Amino acid sequence: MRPAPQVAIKGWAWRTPFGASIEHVTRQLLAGERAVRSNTRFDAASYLCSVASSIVEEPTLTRQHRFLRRMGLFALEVAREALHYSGIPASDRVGLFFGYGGLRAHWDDMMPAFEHQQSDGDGAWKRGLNLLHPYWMLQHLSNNAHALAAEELRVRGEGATFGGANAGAQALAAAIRALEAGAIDTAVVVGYDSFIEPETLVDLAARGMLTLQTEANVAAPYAQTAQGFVPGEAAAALVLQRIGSGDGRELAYVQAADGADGEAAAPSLNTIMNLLANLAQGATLIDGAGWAQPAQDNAERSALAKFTGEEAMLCCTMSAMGQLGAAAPLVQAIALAEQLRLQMLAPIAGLQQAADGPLRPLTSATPINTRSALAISMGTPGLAGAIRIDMS
Amino acid sequence: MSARPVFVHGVGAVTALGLSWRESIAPLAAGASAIVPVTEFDVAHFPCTVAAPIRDFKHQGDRRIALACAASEEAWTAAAIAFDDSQQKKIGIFMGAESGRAPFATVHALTRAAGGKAAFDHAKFGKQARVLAEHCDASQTSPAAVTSLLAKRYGATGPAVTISLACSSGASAVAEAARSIRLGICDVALCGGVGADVDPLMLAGFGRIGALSGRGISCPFDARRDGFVVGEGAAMIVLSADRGTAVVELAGEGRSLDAYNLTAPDPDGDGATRAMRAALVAAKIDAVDYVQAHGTSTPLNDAVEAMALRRVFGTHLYKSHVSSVKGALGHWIAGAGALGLLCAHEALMTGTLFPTANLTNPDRDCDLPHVLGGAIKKTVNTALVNAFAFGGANCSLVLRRCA
Repeated sequence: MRPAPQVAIKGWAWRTPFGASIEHVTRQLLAGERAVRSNTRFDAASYLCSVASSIVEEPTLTRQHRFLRRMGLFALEVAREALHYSGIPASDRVGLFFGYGGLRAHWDDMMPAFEHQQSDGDGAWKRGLNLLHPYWMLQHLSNNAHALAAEELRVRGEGATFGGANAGAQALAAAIRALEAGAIDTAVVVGYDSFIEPETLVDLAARGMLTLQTEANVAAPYAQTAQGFVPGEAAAALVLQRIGSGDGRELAYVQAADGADGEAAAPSLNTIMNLLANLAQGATLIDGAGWAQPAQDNAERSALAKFTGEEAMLCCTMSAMGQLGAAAPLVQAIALAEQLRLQMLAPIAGLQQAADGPLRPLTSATPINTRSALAISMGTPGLAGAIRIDMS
Repeated sequence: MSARPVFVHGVGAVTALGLSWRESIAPLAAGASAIVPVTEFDVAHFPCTVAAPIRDFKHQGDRRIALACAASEEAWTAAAIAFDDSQQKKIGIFMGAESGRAPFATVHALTRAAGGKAAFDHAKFGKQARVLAEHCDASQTSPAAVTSLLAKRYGATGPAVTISLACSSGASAVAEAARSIRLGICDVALCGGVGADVDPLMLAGFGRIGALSGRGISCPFDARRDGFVVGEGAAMIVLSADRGTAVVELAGEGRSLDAYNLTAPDPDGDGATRAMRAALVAAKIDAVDYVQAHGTSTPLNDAVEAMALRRVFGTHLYKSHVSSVKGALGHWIAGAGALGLLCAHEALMTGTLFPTANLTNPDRDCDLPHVLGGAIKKTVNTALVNAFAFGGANCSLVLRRCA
């Protein structure tokens, strides 16, 4: 079987529910902290799920805020920071690969446009669609953040925006393919997503995927008492080059794979195992998807154990930050690389007693001596992503 | 490892001129245009009141998924990829697709659940929207829902990629599929694009920004052009590393970013030029017999594309022919580039060069060897397909008749 190609990480940046500093966020993870709190994005008291792991800071307002909402602005910020961190100049040989979960309605625009509408759309223009802002389409353009990042950073190589809850993994895999093919010399990869949107919270809760517990009572993923995940949000960026190319230090090495199988909710175990087949060799440390559904968590552990053995250590970045959708693989990449560098693995935040099953879910920060780690992420419908991080 | 070749084994489409690609070919060759006044919903006072809807396509659920499944079935059947037990081929799915949209009535119901006033009422929405959520599966409007379902349907275990790159989504998906085959990541790819944007919000949104034709005509490269017309449909292609009985090779792909402006192309056409040149270099050719242009019927885009074509091909351009299918079927947005590839494929397979429907008075700024009126018949050995998106994401594909 063809091995998944590996590339070097030359720069990174993120915006997470714990903040923007990689050192600070890593300390929080190692301390077993959770960013879960009452939803501060809007008054969610009437929602079934009223907790969230949201980014506390607001993005810096630039002239791009005419076209981008909050998460798009965060995406632009992390792309800018990561490229700056890498020290690599923009050029025709730098590509730009964005992954985001999908369009979300901007209700503050939609409500006035629909206030006087009829359900059959009769007279829709004069009843309010004429009130849509002239930039409404640009604000809802799937590749608006991608295009504005290219313009601002002067990145003129190839690139695309990938869509879906595993779009971060898709973007990473596509960037690695572009580097392998020699189409570009450097790739800026960005994942950004938020589940903390009104219709998303309602939908995920209706499907039984979200925790309905209060902030103090949210059970951790992989706990027998787990009853659903915490919705989160993040933006993260990696700058990639072929191994040994260019100047500057190589922070870590990454491989990525994506897959889908049409399942209504989580992807099947076969799909996850298929992704791992090219990535898992020799890995004994896993950052799990952690949907906090006992049956799903146990099935995930069983699938992972087939590749890593039953004694592999299991952590879960998303136990601390909530589910991050398309941003998950990039956040996992940075978090794991930092923990591998420190030779210390974070516990599953909030986990006191793991459900029975294979793998060793960590309940406290644990010293490690391994140089590689796997990470799994999942989304609906039937979407999966996997990465492997190596330090040498 | 040297890169593997990529061959076109089957194509399929659902268009406003036919519920299959096979049905669509004759009207396209005749210069027919499917652009009609919109009657699917009330478009009174909209900036543009015409579109190219597919009216006799019956389906349930998300329209993008239904269109893509129908087109995929035609392409897959035509490809007749042989799978034997000794050689399990790895299949990848690569779709150009944007997010799906809830029907207008559902959006209306959601706003009512949020209080129905000018401001969103979370206290009401948190309770009242629950009932709506129980009756619709929001995951089906994910941009990746089409890809995921096709992966299940065709047993794909390779990459499952969804590119949401506005007007170059479909072409970029084809390019990504070709790269994956060349690198040995998959052996067979089902790829293409789908657009289902004949929708009140899309027509209003594009209309508000001034991108649509106020005259209600899609006439790429014509002096009368004043904006694009929204169309809908799906175009799918089966690619394989094995030549088998294939007649056409996907010989090169090129992509670039303008890094210029969210709404306007680089006036120098630099990004478009770089994408075309990259595709030609990859195919190891410097001229083609036919160009299926992006040609949206917008004043600036068409002029810039024409300029870029002249710059890339020089005088060789006038030995070829150029046309755009958007005069006939409107602009499919995420599906546009994949539809363009099917037109170029037809040119290579049968020597039929579709005309640019509604092009009667070519603009002097768009001086190109147009195909006017009806189809031209000629031997075509090489063809170029262009797709250029809002935001300056460009993709060009080169097809070549196998020796």
